[in-house]
Amino acid sequence: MYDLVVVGTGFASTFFLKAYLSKAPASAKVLVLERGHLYPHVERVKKGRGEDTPFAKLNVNYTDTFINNTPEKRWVFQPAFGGSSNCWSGCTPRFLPADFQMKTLYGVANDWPVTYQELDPYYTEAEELMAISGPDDTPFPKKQPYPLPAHTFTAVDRILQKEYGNLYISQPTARASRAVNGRGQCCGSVICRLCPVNAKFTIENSNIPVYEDPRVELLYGAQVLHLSFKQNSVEKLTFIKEGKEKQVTGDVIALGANALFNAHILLSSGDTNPFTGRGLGEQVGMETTVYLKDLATLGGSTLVNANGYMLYDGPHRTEAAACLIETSNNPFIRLEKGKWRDMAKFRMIFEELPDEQNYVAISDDRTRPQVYHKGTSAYTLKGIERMKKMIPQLFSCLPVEKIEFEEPFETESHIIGTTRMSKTASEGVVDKHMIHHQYRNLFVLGSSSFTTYTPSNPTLTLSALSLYAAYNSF
Amino acid sequence: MQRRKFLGLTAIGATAIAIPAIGFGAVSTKSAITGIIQKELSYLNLDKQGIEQYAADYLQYEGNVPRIELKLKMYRLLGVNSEKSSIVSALIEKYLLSTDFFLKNMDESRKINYIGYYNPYNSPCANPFSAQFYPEAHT
Repeated sequence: MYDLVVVGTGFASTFFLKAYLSKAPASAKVLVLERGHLYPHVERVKKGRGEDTPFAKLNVNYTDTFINNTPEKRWVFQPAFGGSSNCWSGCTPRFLPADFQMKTLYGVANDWPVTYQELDPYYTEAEELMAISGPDDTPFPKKQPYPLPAHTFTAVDRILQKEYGNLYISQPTARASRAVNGRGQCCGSVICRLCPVNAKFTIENSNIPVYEDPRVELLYGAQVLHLSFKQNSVEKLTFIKEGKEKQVTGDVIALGANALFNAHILLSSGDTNPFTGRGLGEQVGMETTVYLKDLATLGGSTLVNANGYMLYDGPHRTEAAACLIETSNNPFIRLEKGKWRDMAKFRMIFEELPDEQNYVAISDDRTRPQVYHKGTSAYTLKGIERMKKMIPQLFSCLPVEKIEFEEPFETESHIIGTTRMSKTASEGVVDKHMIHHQYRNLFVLGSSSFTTYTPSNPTLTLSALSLYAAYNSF
Repeated sequence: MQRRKFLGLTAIGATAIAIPAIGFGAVSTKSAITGIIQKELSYLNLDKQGIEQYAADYLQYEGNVPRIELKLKMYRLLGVNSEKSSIVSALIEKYLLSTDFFLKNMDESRKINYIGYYNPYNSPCANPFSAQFYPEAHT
């Protein structure tokens, strides 16, 4: 019998454990079940150099772990120790206060049961733990400075920042602008899915010693199948390891898998909340190329140099999605004599709304969820059209020759929804502390709990929510 | 991208008809790569041996994808350029990143030397447009 059983070792689980262990007694017993294995950074880099490593075959390919009935919509993640911290890009803007009040302010979707103000101190702690690099002035309120200095602008960035002030900022990021905590300094290699100099925060390099804590037992290769409920609480948890089914009991259970598997575990357990598994979604991103006259994009210091908020918040959100602009520092080239770098590339990221027709369901294979997604909403498509109309005026401070819009990407590599947070069980699955509305010893962590799908990257917010949930529940 | 895909498909269709007449087997992938680069960047002073080494390295690192190799051969024969093919533009961009062109201030008058296949895992911090190479951009 454990005091706490945690599922997964990604951001959601790790930050939750960090807060839990700070309050738990020395006698506490914690079990962590991780379906994957540790694939160390140094071994991953070997693979990047084209060398063989036995670690490469330890973990299953993520595409084999679920059935995608609408494969034109991709869902990307890593089933390994540290989860998607291994492959994320390290973009960590906070949400805007308005993101938590979409229904009140814009009559869209629902309000979150937690406010920006409540989350603020936990944002600060998550930023400290990840040693975030960021600017002094931001479009979201912030009481403490970022731990590390901001990354540097290009000439293009400086013009836009001069024009738009704190609506155009150096991107807050977990790609360290200075060497810190055993991590290297980001030098703009822009292959952040696996940083060659280990500058990006990951669970492996986090210096958050939860998995070394003597109170914690970590079991690799253990996939959770389902929970058993008794009188509105979880009585036991069933998992499979090396082909054998096993059971474990805990006073408290915390699901920290991604939005596909949190929902799948609940559905496989007989959870009848009508929102469980429903509302699967993520942002929509698309690339915009701006050809410039005698102005080169040079001197940026990281993958995404800047975030633009000029198309983000405002009354338009009653009918059209917010857009967050990311400015790229990729080594793109304009193949024209004398104009090699006279261009800028922007990733336009649009919010999306939860839709009940996008969902996770159980399948004939008890280890694999099946997934359905009907496509981009009209709300988001209107946001894209709005962006296309406004961009020429927005970029008129630059010497623009031509603007090109690409087709949307197949994924933003986020998986959101399926156990949405709400004030009551009639509107969602978990409460403001991420506790299941019905099963009161069950936390459901991570971006599966997001009420709405703002254009801002989800990782910082889901990490702050894990801290908030644990500090306020134990 | 969509337009490029369309043009790519059109080119494949046209080549399928033309191939028997022009002797498709006479073109190796390596010579297709060197030919595409030389044609695309004809206005630059390129290091010919370096281009051949790049072609060999490209096939070592990115090769063994028959579909791509087939397309490169067809594009060489048809004269498809970087405006019409994302494969061609990626090939050219990777070549330029593998030279000293950007490290020498994009000077189009000097000879451009191949310095090694661009792979940030072998040579981290090699993005030639980054703050590492343009610190003056911040002063």
